[in-house]
Amino acid sequence: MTNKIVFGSYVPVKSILHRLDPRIKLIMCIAFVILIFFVNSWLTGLWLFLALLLAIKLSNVAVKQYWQGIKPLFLIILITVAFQILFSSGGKTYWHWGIMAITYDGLINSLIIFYRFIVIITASTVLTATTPTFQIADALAWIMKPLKIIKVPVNQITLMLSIALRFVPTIMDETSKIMKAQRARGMNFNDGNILTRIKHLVPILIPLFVNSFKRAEELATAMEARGYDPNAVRTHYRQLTWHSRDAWAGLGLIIVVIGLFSIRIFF
Amino acid sequence: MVKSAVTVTNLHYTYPNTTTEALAGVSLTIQEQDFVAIVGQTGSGKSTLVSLIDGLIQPDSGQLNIAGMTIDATAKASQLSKIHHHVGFVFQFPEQQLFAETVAEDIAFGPHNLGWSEEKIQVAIDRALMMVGLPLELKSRSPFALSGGQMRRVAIAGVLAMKPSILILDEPTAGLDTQATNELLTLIKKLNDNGTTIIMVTHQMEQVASYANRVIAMNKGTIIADTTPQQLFSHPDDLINLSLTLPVSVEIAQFLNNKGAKLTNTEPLSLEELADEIVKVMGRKR
Repeated sequence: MTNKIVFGSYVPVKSILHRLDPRIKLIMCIAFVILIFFVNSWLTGLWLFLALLLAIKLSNVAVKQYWQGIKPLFLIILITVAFQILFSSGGKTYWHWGIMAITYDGLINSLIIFYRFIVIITASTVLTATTPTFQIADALAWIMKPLKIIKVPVNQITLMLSIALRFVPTIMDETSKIMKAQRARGMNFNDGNILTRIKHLVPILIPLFVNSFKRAEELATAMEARGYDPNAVRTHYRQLTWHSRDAWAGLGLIIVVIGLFSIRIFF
Repeated sequence: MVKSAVTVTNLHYTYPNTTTEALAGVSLTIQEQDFVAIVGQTGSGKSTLVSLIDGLIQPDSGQLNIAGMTIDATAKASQLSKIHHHVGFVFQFPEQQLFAETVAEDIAFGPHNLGWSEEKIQVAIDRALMMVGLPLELKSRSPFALSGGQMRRVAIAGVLAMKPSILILDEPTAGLDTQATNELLTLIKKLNDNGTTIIMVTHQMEQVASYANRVIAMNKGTIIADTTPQQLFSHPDDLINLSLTLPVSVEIAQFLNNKGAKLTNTEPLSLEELADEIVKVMGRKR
């Protein structure tokens, strides 16, 4: 029903970030998320924020579109922040009522949490907006390769992942179809209290589950019929090649890391 | 006088985040007890039109009159949901919407949503099961333990239980074998004879020929033909432009005439009619 830009969807435009190798993008995104936890001052926070702004600028995707992606999650963030403000203690107390209190530490903590939420979500949205899901799956497969040594079934995990990603749009379509069908049978989603609204999920989730299981079974049969062997050595249709621009991106990441730790040490 | 069941005036609809209109100014009147077939390519606006008639989406502009209600761009959601008291919608592959633990519970879902009393619902379940030709013993069975054909019948029973005066069907016979297809179409015909207005989206021209009294052809969001099946088939070039096919009987008749057979009725709606026509011509020759 709503075809709005959802959190994590790919935006097909042309940009430097779109052309980068998904592996370096994934590494940068993971590294960035880890770096967020090293933020300990206004300056370090600002430094990473600037790096993120640069990435947004390079992605050629409008800030408005990022905001639309984050908006649905904003309520959850606000609730978390509100809890953090009201229920953490320490430092100077400004206001209190029962077990709730607004304290200096609470405010600082909530600010940090707010910052982390927004920056981490935006950073991962930059990744998903500039990288089609199948490329992310390829990149993940590449990163997991070393795990083969400790007998992790990397191939199977990769296959599961790419199948799961492949069926996300299918299942979304199906959800709206089933919702329509149940509405045609007189179901009213906007009626009643929370309990009846939760009950309303049953006629949607059950067909969705049943159909997904059926589809999985059919897919498995079709793969076996075509001789799929989970333990065989697999080659890839899409080959990832490393370009000089990817090396430059890696260098950019190193600069961000060095910058962050220099600020931490010297300021 | 025949009363109109659905009146549509200059309806426009564009799906969110798309630029082309899915419906670009559609007007039509469907009489009570009509059997209307809607044909057209994928993306021609058939599904959008029937979704609007069932109040599942709201028009951007234009007006809909259904069973004494008027729906336009300003209509409230509660108004839209009232349509479901009058209009039933059998979706494509309706068996995929089954969810309840028993067949009876699933069929009761629609009537329950309409706020019917328990006794009335029980009567409606039995009646709907009988209409689709399923034994009442199935009531306590799980719908997921049934065969594919039976599941579809249960799903259709779930819609029929709501006693719609207008029934929309979106390719109801897709994926059914010949026998099941014929049984289902016979059921739909019987409902139509008993007073239900039928609106059926289909790709099967044979079904259009043998069941519909009226056919609406759509292309790019507009109605390009609103006529009888016979009339539609008499202009085969138009159909081919829309990548629609003629029913076999019409195709054979027109092929024979091109070879100089001189059949008088070039649009026989069934193979029987075609056979009669051929016999007539052969009789003349003798």
